[in-house]
Amino acid sequence: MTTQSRIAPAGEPRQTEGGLIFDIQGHSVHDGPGTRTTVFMSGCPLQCVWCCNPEGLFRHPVMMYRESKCKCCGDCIRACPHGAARVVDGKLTHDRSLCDDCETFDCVTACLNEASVTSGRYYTQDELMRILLRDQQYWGKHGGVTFSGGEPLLQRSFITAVLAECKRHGMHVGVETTSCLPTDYYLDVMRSVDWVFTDIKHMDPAVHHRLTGQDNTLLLTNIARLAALPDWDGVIMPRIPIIPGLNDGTENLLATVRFIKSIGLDAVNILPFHRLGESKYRQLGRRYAFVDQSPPPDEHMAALKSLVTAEGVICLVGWETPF
Amino acid sequence: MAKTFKQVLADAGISMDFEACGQSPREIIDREIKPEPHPRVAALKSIYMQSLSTANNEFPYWYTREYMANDSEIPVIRRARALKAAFSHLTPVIYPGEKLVMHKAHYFRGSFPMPWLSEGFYVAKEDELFQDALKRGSTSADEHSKFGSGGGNVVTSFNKVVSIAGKFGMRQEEIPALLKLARMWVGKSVDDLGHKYEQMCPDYDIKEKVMRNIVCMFDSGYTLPQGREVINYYYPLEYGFDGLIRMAREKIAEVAGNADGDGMVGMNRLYNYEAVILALQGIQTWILNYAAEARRLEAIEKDAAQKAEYRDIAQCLDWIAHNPPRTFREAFQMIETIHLGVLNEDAISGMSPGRIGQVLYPYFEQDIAAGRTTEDEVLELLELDRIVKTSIDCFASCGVVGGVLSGNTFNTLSVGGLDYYGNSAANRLEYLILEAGMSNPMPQSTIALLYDERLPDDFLMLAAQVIKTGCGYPAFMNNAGGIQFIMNQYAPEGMTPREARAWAIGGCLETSPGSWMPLHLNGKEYFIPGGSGQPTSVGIHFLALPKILELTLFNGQDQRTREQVLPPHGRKLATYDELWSQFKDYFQIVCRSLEKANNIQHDVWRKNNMAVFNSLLKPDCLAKGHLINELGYRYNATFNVESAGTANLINSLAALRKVVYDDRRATLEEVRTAILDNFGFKDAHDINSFSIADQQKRDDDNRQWDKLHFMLLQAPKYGNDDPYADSILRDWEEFFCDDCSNYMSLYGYPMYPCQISVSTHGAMGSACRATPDGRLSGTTFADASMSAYPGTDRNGPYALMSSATVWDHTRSQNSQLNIKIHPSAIRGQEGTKKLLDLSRAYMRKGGFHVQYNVVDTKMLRDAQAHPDQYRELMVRVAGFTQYWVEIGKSVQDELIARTEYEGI
Repeated sequence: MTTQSRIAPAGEPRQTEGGLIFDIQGHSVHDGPGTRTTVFMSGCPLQCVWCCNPEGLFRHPVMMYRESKCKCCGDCIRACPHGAARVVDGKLTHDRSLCDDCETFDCVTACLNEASVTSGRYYTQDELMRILLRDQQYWGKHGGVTFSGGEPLLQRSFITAVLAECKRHGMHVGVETTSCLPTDYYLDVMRSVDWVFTDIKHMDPAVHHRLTGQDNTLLLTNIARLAALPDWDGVIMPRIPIIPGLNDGTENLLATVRFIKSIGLDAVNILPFHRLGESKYRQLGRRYAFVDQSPPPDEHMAALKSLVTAEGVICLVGWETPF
Repeated sequence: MAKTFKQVLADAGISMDFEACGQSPREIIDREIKPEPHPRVAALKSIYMQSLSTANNEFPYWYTREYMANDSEIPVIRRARALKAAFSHLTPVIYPGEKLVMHKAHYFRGSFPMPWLSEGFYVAKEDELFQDALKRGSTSADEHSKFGSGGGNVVTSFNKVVSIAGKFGMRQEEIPALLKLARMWVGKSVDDLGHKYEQMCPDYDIKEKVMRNIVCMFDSGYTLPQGREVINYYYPLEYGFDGLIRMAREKIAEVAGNADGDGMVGMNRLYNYEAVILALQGIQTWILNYAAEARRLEAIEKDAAQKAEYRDIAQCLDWIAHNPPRTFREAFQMIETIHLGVLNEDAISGMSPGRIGQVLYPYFEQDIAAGRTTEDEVLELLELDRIVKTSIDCFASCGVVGGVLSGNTFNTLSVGGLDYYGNSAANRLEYLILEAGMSNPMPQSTIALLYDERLPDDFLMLAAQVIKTGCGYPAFMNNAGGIQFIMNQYAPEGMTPREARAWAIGGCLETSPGSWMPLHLNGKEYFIPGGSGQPTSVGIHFLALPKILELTLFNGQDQRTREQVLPPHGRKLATYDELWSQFKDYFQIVCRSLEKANNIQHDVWRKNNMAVFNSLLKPDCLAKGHLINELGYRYNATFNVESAGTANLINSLAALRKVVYDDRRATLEEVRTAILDNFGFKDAHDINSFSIADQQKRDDDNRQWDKLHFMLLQAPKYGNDDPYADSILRDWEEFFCDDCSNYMSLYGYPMYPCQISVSTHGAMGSACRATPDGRLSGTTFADASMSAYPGTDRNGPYALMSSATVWDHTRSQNSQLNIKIHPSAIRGQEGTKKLLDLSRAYMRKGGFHVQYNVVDTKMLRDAQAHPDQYRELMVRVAGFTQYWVEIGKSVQDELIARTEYEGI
């Protein structure tokens, strides 16, 4: 993949002023209790091959090209100082290696059809808090804010300060995290978090490495340590994305469930694979490996659920959110 | 230690059964399956579904005959005699299985023309009457209004059925009678007489051009002179019709020949009471004719059960024709009869039953306690009521009934709110009303929930549950806000905080004043609410705000017709302030011309066509001896100024301010030229789609406007919590709310703003060129007043609701926010809670109204392509629910284009 070099496996985004956020969605209803605002933070320590938010893997703003909106006017070709936009075989294509260090996004400025757009922008803490404080009036007594991504805890200084502000304002805070972060930092930052969705994509360290680029030792340790943290009373909801053929075997599921039980948790959320991210790969000029992969059938999910429940663990399927 | 999930569920009060691991997630979704109506309801509903809107001439024949025969009578007596004759001659028709009986006319969806109001539009276009009507500006609205061609609408003639007014079918052999009747009213109808006198206003010329170019949509004085109000059932319930006649006789003895210090209208009381008696006698005869029909059917019926039902019907009608009702069933039949009676008296849309859960509660409570009825039986009656109400058609011109109302009649019920004592008014009967709305989902009665912090959670949850069935109701209305508006507007007429609590929604979302009346039943006293004001949405209707901006930009000239509508202002509009100031000047010129003309129309109406039956129901006509026309109602400051296209106005002003005045990236002249060239696009009429999403570039377009169009589209837009655009909204609302009180109704009271588009955003958008916000020529305006323009609210519902509440909604009769939400976003019990959280948050922010279309856009597209498969699909338009197939295409397109909030 041409863009591989640009995706930092770890570390903070380039710019340190403010946090890089690629989306903020109000009235989100599947990312924790009640109605919530979900903040999607850029950058991720993992690179799961099925990732449905590929734009969140970048640690800088990135240009996305939406072919359906393109009127083929050529304005972007003329505007690009790097010569990255070209017509090949009658179609507009971008040499993403030339886009690499672009910070001006002249193609986006030139595009009058919103075909070329940027994803990701820097928010100051105040800007973000203004939105969250506004939204706080709408959440109701059960809702709150959920930080997602990417890995929401990656931009350390920004997220630490924001989480502290959220707690100061009495917000219910959720995260959707990889838990693949330095343990001391992870346990410390979680003190400001009430609800943790954390993925366990595979129990075998080697397979986990193959699927995500990292092995799972760190994240399993972190989750176990967090669950045992004496003075923390948040909720941990482990999630397993069910990717057909990659991690949906019985053995792996049972191993995961037993791990969950062993650290004192009683519930797991299994998420069926979906292809909703596919168009974003196209827009980023990246290859999508799952074009022909169908979502696991309902019966399969139901069978997995019975496996889990037979172990005495509560199993929530998909976007089922009884909270 | 981390909390276990079981603890979380327990904290949230969620049943532990769930995680006993047995149930699959699907069962949460299963709970949302809609309950079925009772079998008799289903059977009658299928008759409705197969019925077409039908008009006949029985009522107009007898009315006209009697009216003409009494040409030397005092007007109120003449009118009452005509009404009595017409009611007395209506042919009764009862369908097997009906429990709540009586129909407007002798068809299931029957109605009839009222040529005494307006006679010019009945006949096919080639007729000379129509040609004559065309010359008047007001007819333009008809040309931009279309009904949906499905459902019960008869939009074209077939076989021996002639289509009238774009919606109704009439038997061919009745057409000569209709024409003869219509001709008898030429020069005498409210329309014609009003037209004669309105021309004497010095600015009549402006008014005519304003109407012809659809800057304003319709004249209210002769189209739908009543409605948008809450009916009052109290007096017949308390005293019975015989009792009321007795009271009127006693009053006559008191007032005959006695001016009582009022040299102007004191003497009129005699004739008014006499008219009341005549009207009541007509109603009684009408009821008794139905009773006789029930007895006839009883005699010939073979089936024992049905025979018994006819007997019950006859007994019920015989009783209520004379006496106050004793049971829930009798009381329900009586209010149904009163309702239809009022609707037959005048051309009315929006005669709202109001808070019938309060009105009928005394009977419900006592019948249940005594074992005379069951909740199931009550639920069945409530389901049947929905068929009766949905079968009501309103006969008026296509422009009014189609373009403005989409055929809707706005028999809105209100539930919730507070009672006489200031406590939550939600009672058991109101729960059943909501349940009937689910088990028999039909457009009428649309339900308004008067949201108050004191309402119990399970009631609100049930309401949210009903919304989720996709029927478009109930809408959430802000009770505290409504009360505050009522206090402000009616304080000069003696409104008190307690009485303000008796308010309800009249029409689609018109805040209407009410009163508490002491009802006595078996020695127990109940304070029941009922309407006590005049129609609350008459006056200046509807103003296309973007069109007024078009006139401002083009020196008063309409750019579609090239007619000079308003006097040229000659200003350069060199600054934003100059533009804004000129816009306001034009707005006032338009309003002033409409104010006068409409006052004259309504004045003719009150002199010759005053309400008699509706009047006698309302406090304090019977006590005062004055009907509506002599300020007999308790509250009379009810006229308003209605707007449409608010979001497009705000976005256009914001775009001009940003691009032309602040950033100076384009000149005003460039924007004007681009507008005239429709930014290089085809006209919406050429591609027959009125949705912004479907518009196409012209083949010869050379992209010269692309950049400017982009800049205008990118300029700040209302609905994103962006102070740049939202401050313009606040400026507009401050001006609008202040300015309305500069216009005075014929009753001598200041007007107020009303901000609902109903369906006019389709028809009026159709007549408006492209606008500076980037909207294209002929496309539909944003719906309602607080809804964002489709696709421009990019920051989600919280940002939209924040933008909507930058101004004080209690200064206006209403505001309106419609949200389309995907069913997946609010699945399950938790989804219901989330829907309630969102609605509640908006109410707490001070929003007046929010309602939801819980529907998948893909389904709407499919329904447009295959209407025959979607006969029962209902959608919320703007303040009302309607069958998809009966809505005109421009509004269908707008509904599809609305921003859809999905579950993330």
